[in-house]
Amino acid sequence: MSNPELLSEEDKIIKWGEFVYALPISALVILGFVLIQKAGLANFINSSDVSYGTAFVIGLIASVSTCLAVVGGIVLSLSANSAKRGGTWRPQVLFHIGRLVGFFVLGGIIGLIGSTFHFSIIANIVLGIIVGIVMLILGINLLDVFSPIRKFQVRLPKCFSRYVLNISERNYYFTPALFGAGTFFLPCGFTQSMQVYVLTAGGFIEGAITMFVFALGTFPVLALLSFGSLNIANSSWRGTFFKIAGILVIALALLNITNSLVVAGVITPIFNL
Amino acid sequence: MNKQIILSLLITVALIGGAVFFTRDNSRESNLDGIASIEMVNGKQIINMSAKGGYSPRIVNAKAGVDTIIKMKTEGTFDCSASLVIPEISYQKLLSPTGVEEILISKDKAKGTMQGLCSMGMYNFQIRFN
Repeated sequence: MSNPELLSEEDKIIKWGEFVYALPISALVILGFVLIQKAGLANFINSSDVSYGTAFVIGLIASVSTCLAVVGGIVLSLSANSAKRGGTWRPQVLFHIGRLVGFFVLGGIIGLIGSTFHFSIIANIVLGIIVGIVMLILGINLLDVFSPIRKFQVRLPKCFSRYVLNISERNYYFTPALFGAGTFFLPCGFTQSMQVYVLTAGGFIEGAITMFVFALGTFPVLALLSFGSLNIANSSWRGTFFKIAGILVIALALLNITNSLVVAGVITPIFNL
Repeated sequence: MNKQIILSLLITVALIGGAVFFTRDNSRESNLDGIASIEMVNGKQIINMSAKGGYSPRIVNAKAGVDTIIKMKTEGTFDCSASLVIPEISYQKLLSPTGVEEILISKDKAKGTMQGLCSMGMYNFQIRFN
């Protein structure tokens, strides 16, 4: 279907036909996501005291929960964008290593100092909206419907895109790893309550291992998203995949933005996921 | 090709319709479980609620103009509902995974409809003072 040598040609044509498959497939994924939330996953956690095994299970559950709306959305948008620009596996691996190491170190620090990095509600709202807007832009770029009309192409501010998109272009070691570690601070209910638990547990080692095991639990789904993007990006489903990824990232971005506005009291709750 | 497009759109609309059906905020149905959860102790109104995978009950009808305490119970709660926000009384707290948190609402605040949410906005509840 696509020929790598014709990439520049490919970029110039909007392949609306790809939406024929991309639309129903993304709708199916969205329905599946909603059904998983409705299955009441949180109720699978019965024990009130957290062993490393429980931390792992909480991580597994978190990775298919609404947490996915933030962390998973970012992983998908970054890795699909990176794959689209011919990025390699290296930044993706570094991202995941950064995430695991970051959770270990930061979890340890929380356990040691006995207080968490507490964001005020305003900071949470602002962060949620910023993350939502960045995801929205990355998602629209993935759709490839604007590229023929370059001047209308949605672009991130220069200083910001330098950090986000150059991950793929220059294969930096440091930036993707830093991004991975940074996901520790992203608003995610599960991550936050694990952090609170670690506080009460106390001690560097206890905190570090608990947060590390939790991050390990989220790893399978996140790894599937990032390495899956790379693999499919090299197949004949390339175009359709980027459209699906784009639609899903946009949907997750809108969910984030709506939820932030709900918390801000701007709009009344719409979803009850 | 045209048939394909129409089929694709139909399937998409059906699936999204299903998703909307399941996410829609069906608070009216969960109204019933709000009846037995309020008690009066020493002139204070105590509302018993629980937080895990959302808040229960979703809608509470309470008396207005009375000092009120919400007793929010958590039991192995690690999801977003542990991160509780009640904007009207500037309340924000990460609840411990298991325990009971007491939230005080003074009588002058106990009026109208008070909205509680988790910090990411996924779950919500309402206390209707009347």
